[in-house]
Amino acid sequence: MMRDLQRLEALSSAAALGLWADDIVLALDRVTSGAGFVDADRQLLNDAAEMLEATLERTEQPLSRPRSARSLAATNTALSIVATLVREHPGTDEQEILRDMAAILREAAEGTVGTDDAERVEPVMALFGLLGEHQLVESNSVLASRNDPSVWSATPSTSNSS
Amino acid sequence: MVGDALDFQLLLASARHEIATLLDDPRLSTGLPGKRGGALRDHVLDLIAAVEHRMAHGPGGGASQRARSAFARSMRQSIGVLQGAHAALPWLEATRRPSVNLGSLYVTEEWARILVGTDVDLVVVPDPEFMYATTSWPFSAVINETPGFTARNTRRPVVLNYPLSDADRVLLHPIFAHELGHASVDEHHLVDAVATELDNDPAFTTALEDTVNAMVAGTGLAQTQISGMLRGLLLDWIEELLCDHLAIEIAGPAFMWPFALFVLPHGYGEVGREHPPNTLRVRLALEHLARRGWRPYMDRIAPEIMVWLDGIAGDATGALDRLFAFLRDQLLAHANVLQDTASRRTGADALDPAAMEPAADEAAGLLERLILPVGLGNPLDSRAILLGGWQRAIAEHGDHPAGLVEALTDRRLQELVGKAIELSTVASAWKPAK
Repeated sequence: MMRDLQRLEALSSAAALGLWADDIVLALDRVTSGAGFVDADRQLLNDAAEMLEATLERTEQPLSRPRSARSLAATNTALSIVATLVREHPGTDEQEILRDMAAILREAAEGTVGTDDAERVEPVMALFGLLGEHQLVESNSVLASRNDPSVWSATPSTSNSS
Repeated sequence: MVGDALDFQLLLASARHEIATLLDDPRLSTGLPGKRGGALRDHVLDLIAAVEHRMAHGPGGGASQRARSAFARSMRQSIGVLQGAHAALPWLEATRRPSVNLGSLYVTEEWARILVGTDVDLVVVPDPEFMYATTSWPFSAVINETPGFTARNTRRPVVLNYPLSDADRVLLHPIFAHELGHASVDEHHLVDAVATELDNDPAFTTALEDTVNAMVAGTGLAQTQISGMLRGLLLDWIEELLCDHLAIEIAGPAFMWPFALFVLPHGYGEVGREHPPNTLRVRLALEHLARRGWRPYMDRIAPEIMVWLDGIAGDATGALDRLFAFLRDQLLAHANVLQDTASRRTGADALDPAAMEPAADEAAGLLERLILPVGLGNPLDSRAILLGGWQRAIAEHGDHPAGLVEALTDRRLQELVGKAIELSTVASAWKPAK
């Protein structure tokens, strides 16, 4: 059964991934709107590129081990979102999307992306925006589960309990 | 519209309201006496400061709609987490009035020091439901994802839940050692260490590939999906098993007996999403105890219970679905990796049968005569007192499964054990003034 402690952990993890995704959208917007970097943006954009590269690696080597449980969760969600994008836009390719977006993020982190690149950056912002939306739904479902005991007992256990 | 001026106005006002509600609560606003709970309080205050930092760094006037929507979402996420943070307030209150047996609290703090480290704030809180559970750094994921924000608190808060009805059931409290294992695994990245060793073994990677391919053929799912699911389950099972192994390292048989009586009424060989079948857990636990030299002691104290547990362990290799059979078989084949990882963590602080057996015998002998088992010479090690408590409990209530359960109803025995641990801890720590 899912207990209060684990519910809080689940909420915190879901929210953190969502906050991170939305921070990337905000960082990319600063880059393309000419507002300029804030200190943490370079790291943030490199981390985002790394996550997409890890996702790409999982499509190339499906048996490979993600670096951590957090990476496994993030790349699982990214894979699911990219698969949806591919279904909605026939003719596109998962690996191509991931590779291109990771490259744009690396360029942005290096400071070589500017206001002229807004169109190129837009799909990356859209992807991370979808990730943010997905995680907000996740967080809300964790919060709502507290008021519904049937959901608690039906939820697969994430408990640390013995 | 999402992310417009009115939306921002509402969200910022709501976030401010949640923050004020938390800060106005006397359980958070009032400082705590002593050190217990201090890190947890600072951790909650860090969460609040992180959200305030985020609120102060909203998008500028020229931001795109995507950016404004992203900021609005981040505020909604923050508000949800602040609402969740109310769960921490009763924990802070619990540190002012600890209800768990004081002897248990002392020995649990010793376990925390060994397994997690010295910089730990252990908060032991009764749970209104009947469950043991733990969490540490409950809000760190959110705090750490706040760009440009540095948390003030560096001491790990660990919150440990136990059923209120078990507050004085000292013999059951070695289960706390398993719960603290979760904090240890997190602090020292032990799951990653085990997973890396598995991945370095060609036998594991070949078996993984075979299993994934067979499941792809059977389900039509992509390799990546199957592999991701399988790896997620594997990490969860490794964590649970590591926690059992860590608990054995520091509590020895005093963990095994309450573990069996606690988990087996919940399930036998069934697979949980996060918990391996209890048959597998019992088998790996017994293997670890044997490797650590505890088997002769356990056979001497509880020969019939050990036959019963051996039978359960024997059922670990029964039929399972392919996916779970893969996990089970790989973990059995790599039992030494789990054992070594746990042993490396505890090092010289692991419970040594050669040193503990005579001390446990002494404690059990004193308990038989209803004498507080603090020790006839020097104070006995608190963990030996606990072990002696179990030794006496089995002698008195029977060397059979029901005897383990009946031992928990023995209030007198557990009061003596708890009080002895308390006095022994104080006596060991006390140094006469020069």
